Amino acid sequence: MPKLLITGGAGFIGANFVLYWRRLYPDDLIVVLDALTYAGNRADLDAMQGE
Amino acid sequence: MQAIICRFGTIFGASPGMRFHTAVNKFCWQAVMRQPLTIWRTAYDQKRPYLELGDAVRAITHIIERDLFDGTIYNVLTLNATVRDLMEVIGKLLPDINLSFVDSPIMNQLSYEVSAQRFIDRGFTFTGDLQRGIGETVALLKTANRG
Repeated sequence: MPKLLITGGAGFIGANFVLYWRRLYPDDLIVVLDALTYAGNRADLDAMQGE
Repeated sequence: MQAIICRFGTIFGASPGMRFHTAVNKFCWQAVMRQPLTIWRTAYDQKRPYLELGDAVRAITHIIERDLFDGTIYNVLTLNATVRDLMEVIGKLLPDINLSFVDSPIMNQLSYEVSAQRFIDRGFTFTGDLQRGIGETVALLKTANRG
C-alpha cells in the first residue's frame, strides 16, 4: 500500500491536496503532519473523519 | 536526494476552510463585507502571477504521479493578472464595491509576468479560471455572511 506523509496537510493547500488525493487513491495510507499554527485547521479535514 | 522546486503563483479559490491572507480572496472578503478595498495606485496595473487552488492541488498530484523530481525549477501559475483585472471581475459580481486608492510609494514597483511553459511542457494543463474562482469565493462568502 503506498504511504504518503503530507506536511502542512491541514493548511489551505495541504488539506485540499489530502482530500483530492483521497478521492483519487482511497486505498493509500496518508499521514498528515501539521504544526497547526496560523494556517492549519483540523476542521479542514473533517470530510475524512472516521477514516 | 531527488527534488523539484515549484514557484507557485499567489493562491486563490474557494475551499471548505477558507484563507483570506492573499490578494484575491482578501479582496473578495472585503467586497462582500462592504469594506473599502485598499489599493496602491501605482500597483493597480502591475501584473502578478496567480494560481487557482484546484490547479495547485492537481499540480502536486501531477508531480507525484509522474515522479517528476528532476531537480528543476518550475513556475506554477494559472494566469498573470493586474489588480485592475481582479477589480473588474469582482466588480461584475458586486457592482457597489468601494475602492480606496493609496498614493504612497510602494517598495516593489515591478510588474512581472511569469511563464508556466516549462511545467506545461511536462504534460500539465491548467484549468483554473479567475472568474470562476472569484465567483465561487464570493458565493461562499455571501452564504457565510447571511449568518
